[in-house]
Amino acid sequence: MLGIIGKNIRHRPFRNGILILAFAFIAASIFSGQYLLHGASESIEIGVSRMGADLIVVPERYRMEAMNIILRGEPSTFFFDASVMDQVALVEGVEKVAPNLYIASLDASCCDVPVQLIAIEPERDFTLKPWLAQSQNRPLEKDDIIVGSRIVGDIGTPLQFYGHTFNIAQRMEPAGMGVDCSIFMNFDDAFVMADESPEKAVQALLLPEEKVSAVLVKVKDVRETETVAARIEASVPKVRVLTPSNLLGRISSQLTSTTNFLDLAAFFATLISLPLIALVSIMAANERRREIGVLRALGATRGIIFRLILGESVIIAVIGAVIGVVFSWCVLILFQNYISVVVQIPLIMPNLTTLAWAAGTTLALTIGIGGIAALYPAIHYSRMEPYDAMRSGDL
Amino acid sequence: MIEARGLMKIYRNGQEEIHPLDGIDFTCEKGEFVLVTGRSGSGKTTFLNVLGGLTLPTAGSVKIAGRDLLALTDHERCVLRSEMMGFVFQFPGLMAPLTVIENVLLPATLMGKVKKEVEAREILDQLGLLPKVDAYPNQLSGGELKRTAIARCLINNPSLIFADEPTADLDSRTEREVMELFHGLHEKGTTIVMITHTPELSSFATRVLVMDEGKLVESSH
Amino acid sequence: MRTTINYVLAVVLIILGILIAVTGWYIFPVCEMEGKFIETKAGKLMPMPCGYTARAETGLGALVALAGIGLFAFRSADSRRAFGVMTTGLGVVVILIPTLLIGMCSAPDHICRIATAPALILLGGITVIVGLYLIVARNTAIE
Repeated sequence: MLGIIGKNIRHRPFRNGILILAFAFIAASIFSGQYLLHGASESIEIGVSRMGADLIVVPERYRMEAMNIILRGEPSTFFFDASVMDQVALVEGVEKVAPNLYIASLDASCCDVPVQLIAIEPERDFTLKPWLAQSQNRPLEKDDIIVGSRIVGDIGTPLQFYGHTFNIAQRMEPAGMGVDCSIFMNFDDAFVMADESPEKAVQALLLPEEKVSAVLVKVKDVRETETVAARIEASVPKVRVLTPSNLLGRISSQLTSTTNFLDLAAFFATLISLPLIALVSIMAANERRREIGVLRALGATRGIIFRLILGESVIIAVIGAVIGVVFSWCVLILFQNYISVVVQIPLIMPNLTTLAWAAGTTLALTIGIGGIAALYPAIHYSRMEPYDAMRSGDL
Repeated sequence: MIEARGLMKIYRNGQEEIHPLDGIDFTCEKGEFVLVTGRSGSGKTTFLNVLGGLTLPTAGSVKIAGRDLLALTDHERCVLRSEMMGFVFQFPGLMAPLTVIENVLLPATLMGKVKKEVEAREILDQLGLLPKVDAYPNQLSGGELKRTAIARCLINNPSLIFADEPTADLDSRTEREVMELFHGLHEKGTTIVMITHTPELSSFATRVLVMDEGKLVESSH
Repeated sequence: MRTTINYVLAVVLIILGILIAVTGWYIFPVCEMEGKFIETKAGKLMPMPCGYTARAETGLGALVALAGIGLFAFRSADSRRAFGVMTTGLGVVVILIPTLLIGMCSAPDHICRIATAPALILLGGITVIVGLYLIVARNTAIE
């Protein structure tokens, strides 16, 4: 039976080719929506979980800038008093704290857009270790930097910031978030860079002493994260606490509008395609009614005719779905960064299980559409008496 | 073999009623070769299709080998057709995507039987179609199409053959060959009911009937 | 019908060729279209790597389109396979130019890197698929 269906499909390459394209379009819309939704969610989850810090305390005035650094790597420079760190450390529920300095670079030698420089105290820092792609088990030496996945340059490549030369010591795995465009350096090196900048750099960098840009916090009990955040905001003046939930919330509104748009596109694609596919199925079956009558005369049961008509539509749907999923997957991978920039959402390729699930549901939905479209002709022509089918309307 | 009583078939076209069969009684013994002739539109094709169970009569009964067609389910009729009957229609009715041999094997394929490729080739050889075994219907002449349809009819060794104008598109020589083929089958015991417009073929038949306005009349033979 | 498939593929190749040729200039314009050049010490403005890629792809795109035109003119089975081999090779080179042979700018967020290069890779991939189909498909044009 499959052989007959296969030959029937190949016999009408243009009509079936267009049907395959229609199914491919439907499948691509459905799959893309799921890919983007999961790709963005996973990116946020990974990025947030990789922060290492449960909370980030930033100056109240610079809350948005801080969020943009983390989410999109939009560089900024801001500070507040380092004494904030001691105050935060005393808050109930806080296990440890570490300081960060945020410095926007000038045009760097690696790239002609500014990148975010983040100075850390390697002894106190507890956030970077989970991110590191290659563990070299040596501490950050003088002028060593750790770069995000999208910074161009191999390990050992020198990069210049504010006239000071650094060496890439390690590279981080992609997170689909701001940290991919960030560069981590020692506090000490940052101050040396700032001191030398009036002579060596195009523009001097002023780094005030006893200032930090953010305080990273690890809480004792993860379940109390929000509570501790509230306590910090209550007890330390002029600060804001960034939590995973408010980072997620910031993204989700953009994400929702994008995925709503894609879901709508998939819905309309289906709405328009389904009647067209159904019409083509009816026309195709009608064209072959005499053939169906002959098949019935030769001994084909109603079930066989039903399966022949439905089977043809389902197989065309499967072929279209596979093409649609594979093609949209290739496009999504190739244009991942472009989509992320244009739509302003973080994006990574979802993990394999999620992908398989998305592909599976897309396939199932597309096959379902193919089956529904062919259901009427399959039922109608299988129920026809053989002679009535052969007569084709004449008496 | 075939027993039909009071066969009636009525088609309604709006207010108009058409009676291609108007109360027909018909009996055919095993091994007979019955020829049915008559004017166009006299109901011959409808009659043949009713006998074959391809359409059910509005009234009356049909029994094939003692089994009442109207009492069977559609599935049972299909099985009966594929086991016992062979059909040759006015049009060739071949499937365009399949080759000649695939078309001939179709009844066996539909029954899920093991492919009878050797038998198919023998039948095609008998009908002079062996060189065209892998050709597609759009590559065959009218006569070749008809002969392929006849070969398809024979693949399941039917004991009862219904043929609707099997020699219509054939030249006289091929017509003769085909009729001799049917004659040979008849001699081996196959029951044949054939519709034809060619009175000259009556010499092959054991009985000739004439269809006139929905009624069957025995002709002198 | 088989001849018609040939015509369709010929049109597809012509369209692919045009797209490959113009991607770097009009669809996802490379850096020099935004006025970004490399300035030498002597003060001369030179195209960045993406500019050279775009120039190379223009030439390749023209050749892909030419293959499409050739498919219209020469329809025998052997011609079709020959065009298939040529098209497959061209498609591979279309992919290699922005990735290995010339490359794009090093800045991670430049359009040339995140859009022009992926577009060319995609178009090159489709060209390779069309080329392979022309080579392996049975029952080529009936003359």
